[in-house]
Amino acid sequence: MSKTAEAVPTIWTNKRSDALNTGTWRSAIPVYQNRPSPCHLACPVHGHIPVWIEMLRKGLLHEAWQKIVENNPFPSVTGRVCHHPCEDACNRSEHDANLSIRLMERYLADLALEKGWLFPETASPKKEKVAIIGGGPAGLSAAYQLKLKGYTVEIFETKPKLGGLLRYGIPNYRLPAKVLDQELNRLAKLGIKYHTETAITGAAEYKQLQNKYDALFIATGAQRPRKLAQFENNPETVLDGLDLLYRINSGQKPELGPKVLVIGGGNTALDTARCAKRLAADVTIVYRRTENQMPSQETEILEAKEEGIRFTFLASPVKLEKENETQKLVCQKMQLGEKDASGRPRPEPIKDAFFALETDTVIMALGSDIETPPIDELETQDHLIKVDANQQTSVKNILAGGDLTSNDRFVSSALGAGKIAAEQIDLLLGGTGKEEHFTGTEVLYEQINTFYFPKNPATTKSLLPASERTRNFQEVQLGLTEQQALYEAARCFNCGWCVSCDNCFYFCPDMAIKINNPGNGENYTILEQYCKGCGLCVKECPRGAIVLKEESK
Amino acid sequence: MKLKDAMLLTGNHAAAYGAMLAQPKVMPIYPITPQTPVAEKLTEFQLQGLLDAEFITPESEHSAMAACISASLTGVRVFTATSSQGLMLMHELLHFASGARTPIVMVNANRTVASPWGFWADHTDSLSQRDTGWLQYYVENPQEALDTVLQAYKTAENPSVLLPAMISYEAFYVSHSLEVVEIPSQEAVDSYLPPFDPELRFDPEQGRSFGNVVSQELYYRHRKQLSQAMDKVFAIAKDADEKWKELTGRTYGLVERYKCENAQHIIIAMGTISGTARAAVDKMQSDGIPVGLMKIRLFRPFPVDKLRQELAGRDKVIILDRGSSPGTGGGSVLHQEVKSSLYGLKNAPEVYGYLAGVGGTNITPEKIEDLVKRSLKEKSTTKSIWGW
Amino acid sequence: MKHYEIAEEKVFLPGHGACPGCAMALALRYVLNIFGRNSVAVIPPSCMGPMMGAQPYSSMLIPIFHNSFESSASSAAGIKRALRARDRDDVNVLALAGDGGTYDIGLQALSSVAEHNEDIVYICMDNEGYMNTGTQKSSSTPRHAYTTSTPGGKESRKKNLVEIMAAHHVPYVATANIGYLDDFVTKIHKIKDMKGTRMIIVLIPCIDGWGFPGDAAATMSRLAVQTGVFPLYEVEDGTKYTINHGPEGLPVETYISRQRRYRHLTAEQVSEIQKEVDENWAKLEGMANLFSATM
Repeated sequence: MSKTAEAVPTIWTNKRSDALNTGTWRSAIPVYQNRPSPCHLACPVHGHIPVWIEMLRKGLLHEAWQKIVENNPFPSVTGRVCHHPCEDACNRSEHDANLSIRLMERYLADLALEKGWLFPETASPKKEKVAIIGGGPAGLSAAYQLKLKGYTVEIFETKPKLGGLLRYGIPNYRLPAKVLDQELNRLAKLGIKYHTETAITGAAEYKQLQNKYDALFIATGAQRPRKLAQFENNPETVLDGLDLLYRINSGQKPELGPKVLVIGGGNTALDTARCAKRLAADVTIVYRRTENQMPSQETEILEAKEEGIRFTFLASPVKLEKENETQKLVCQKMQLGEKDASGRPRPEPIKDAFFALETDTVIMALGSDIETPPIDELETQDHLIKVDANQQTSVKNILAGGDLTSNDRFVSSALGAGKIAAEQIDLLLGGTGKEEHFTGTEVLYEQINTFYFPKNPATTKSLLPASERTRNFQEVQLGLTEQQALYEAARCFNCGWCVSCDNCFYFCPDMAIKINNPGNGENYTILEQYCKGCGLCVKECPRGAIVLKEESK
Repeated sequence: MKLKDAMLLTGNHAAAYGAMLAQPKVMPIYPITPQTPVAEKLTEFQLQGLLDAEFITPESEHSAMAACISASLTGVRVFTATSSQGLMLMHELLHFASGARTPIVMVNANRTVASPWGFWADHTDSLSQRDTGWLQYYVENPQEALDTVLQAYKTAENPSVLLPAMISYEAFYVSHSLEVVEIPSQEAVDSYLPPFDPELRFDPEQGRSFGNVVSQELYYRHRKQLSQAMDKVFAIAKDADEKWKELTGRTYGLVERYKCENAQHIIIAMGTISGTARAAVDKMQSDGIPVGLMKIRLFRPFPVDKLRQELAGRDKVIILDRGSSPGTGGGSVLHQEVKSSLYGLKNAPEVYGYLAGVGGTNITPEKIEDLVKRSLKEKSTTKSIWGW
Repeated sequence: MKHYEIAEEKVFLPGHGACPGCAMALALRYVLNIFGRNSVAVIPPSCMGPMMGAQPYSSMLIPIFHNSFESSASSAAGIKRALRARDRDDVNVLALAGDGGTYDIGLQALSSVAEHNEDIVYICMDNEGYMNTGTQKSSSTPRHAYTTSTPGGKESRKKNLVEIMAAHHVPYVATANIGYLDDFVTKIHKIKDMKGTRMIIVLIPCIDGWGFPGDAAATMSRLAVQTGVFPLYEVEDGTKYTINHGPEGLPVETYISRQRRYRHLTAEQVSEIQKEVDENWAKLEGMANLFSATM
């Protein structure tokens, strides 16, 4: 008999199993990983959406807002006008209905304006200076990020006020000027130097900036409207959409005839049509494809219809005719053909099929093109400034963004481009550049443990009744109440983001998960002495924030 | 010490008095003829306030024994009683009880085992439990039953022993026969039997557990310890008997010798046959036949050394056995036990094994005299003989 | 999910010998930690034996008696009575047994203890077979399930132990599983404050015995409920029924198709099981309507 057996005095137990090591059984170990959510990946500014929604749910409203403005200085703006690809990507859409992320953002952002919350303190000043040409969303976003990092930032803007398209291209009923002003005022407090009514157009001016500043970010937008030659010589009747929006947003009240036709199918077409309606006109949108192909947002079309705007699809304007005192727009009927480069069916004219629409005013909203800055060796591609994924142009220390480099024409894309450019400029000037907040693969719906998420319908979005919308520029889309915001927040899966629900801890059959004190880094520690690597914690994590990593022994 | 009372009692009731005086705390008992009056008397004591115990009336002897074991491991004195089929239903747990080192005391009214059914005096039920690690006492009358219950507790609960003990007496001949029984006072018993308070028990403050799977080495060691504890019983049981004498004046010894001083031949028996054999010994000695009687009162542990010492140099040993084990050299358990005890002894006597009284058949003094005389004439055989 | 609390002092320790991902270990964690240190338990031969650890180690800080297979209820009763005799009636006494030790060999003793209403808690870890010995059938094994002793699939139904216990009119009998931890923990707390014979039958999907992935014990527990195979309910005093979680319209197919023990099933056998599940549920709903706890 061995000495061990002799050493045991009785058959009664006298030792604790926690002295043993069951970790040796394991071939894989759980690892906590904050994985990217689909909304985060879809977001043009890469907002930490699951993170701030968790804070909102916990009632940490200020913290949630602070988390938002890490990536986006204008959440009250995007909370209204963002095309929300995050919501389209939301995993919850496979469960019941996607989250109203944009309206939650708006709720927090409007609260911030009400409470007067300010941006964080800027980092200690750096000696490098950056010039930003263009005070629209891309330029302002870049300026904001760079300023926070401590750079000296100066903005050069042609117009009297900052904001670019935010100010001059989006009607007040979608984005009240007061909201924009408040968000811009908050930005102004950071100490960014603005040069308004300062156009940078010539090669010499650019050269000067290149010499004086360590880096340039050019975001001058796409300001040259596309035109149809046959309508050029009729300025009384034929107006430019962007110009009309500029005039309205500048406080003018343009005279329009009683019957207005708007040519185009994008956001500008919708915006001008709805503005025209508010200026007491009978408005019809003429578009050469069908409703399904309209580039504008679905809700815009819906709201336009509610407001009484009519649509004539599959029609292309040919010419203006005057018969007696009645002016008519002659259009050619179109049909849908093969798909073109945009992936939409190409509109093809039907031979000899013409019709005419009575009109007093025709508004052209056919889109716009960029003006290429006169800089040597600045390359273009497909009528845009050529940039890489970091918004770097072909010229050293010159970056570009916004409509200048992209055709998608979204406010949030411009904000994202500005942010990315700022990160890249930081890197170029010796900083750390982009910070990674998430690791691993995108969280798929299948990786969500839906047991923990009872099905709950989405919050009904509130609109100003259509009858109250015409004849004024009052905001149409209404925000969420606190109760609604919290309800929506509670629906969030928080894909890939550990919210300290402790489920992993509760489901460990081996008591191998330790809950750490708050604020001590990771929320949990895997006790390697005991973990058998079963993966139950991974499976029972409601949100896919734990992965099993194979271990080789 | 002052005796409380003398009463006319059956063996069952006398055993119940013995149990009552031990003041056990838990009593799981399942009824079975002929043991049932033990349980009935004890519940009566409880009603009278003579006893403060937890009675459990389970659905079987198996559960009764299970509760005895777990209660004993929780650190209280327990008592139960059974018979025959009930004892055999307990068989698994009899091993369990000794393995768990629980000093349970149980009376067993020896009764024939089925099939076929019968209710008669027969030692087969308890003899077939001889390897279960229990102390086994065989008693022959109500007084001895009472006395032995208390001696058994004193022995079993000794920290050097901690083994369960069984007191067997025969169906009806003892269980239902009335005799005058002296009953010691509670104070006297309390002075004899200290409270049972084992050091290790199921207690949340201790948090220690018993009985999980062990290694081969630990199991070996455990069985060895159990066996060693059994070996210590002789001295401790003898002491308990002597202390009982000091208290009550009554003593039995572990092997009782009757008129053995000059006896060339010795009758060996257990239980009530001993009483009949005493009469036969008296008659034969008066007829000039030098025969004595040794009653084996403690069958487990078996008094091997004592028998070798007592039987060396004797002429013949005649064994009368009321239990049978088919296939053991003719069928007598006691015959085999005695023979193997004497193996290798110089001056060993010739050994004669008779199956006598099996099935409760009546053994008279005359029958015993016949068997002794037959042994004196014949050569012994290795096989036991059905001698009724 | 944070309705429940685990006692600060942990009674069930890591280093135990359960298979990785075992639902029984998890169930035991809640039972032991909620009942706490002031408890004694019996464990007959079952997966909980090896789970406790090899002598002299124990993963359970309370005294455990490893009793004989068929005597859990009576052994627990013996301990309870002995504690009462020692003036320690405050100590909780638990029997922690598998389905073999409960539905089969231990049923006789359990019936007696239930009839006496002995003051014990009986937790039946029901993994629907003798899993500790390598998957033999018990009377808790459901129809058509493969075990090594029913290689062609079991021909008879699973025994309804809840109804058997309810017929004894015990103060409390319930079903539970670790897929619904809130419910399970609530039930443990509830019976801790009660007296008499209390029982929870915990469905323990067995990774090895049933054949499913090692991380899916909770998933399988939930599917058992959502398909109506194992509804979670309580019966108090034999007559008061409360259904906690019932079927959610999922066909049994979604449950059984994920288990190796049902791999051999024909479509006809699947519909037989569905029919049986539907019948059982109809009966339970009927009982619950007739004898609602809230009435």
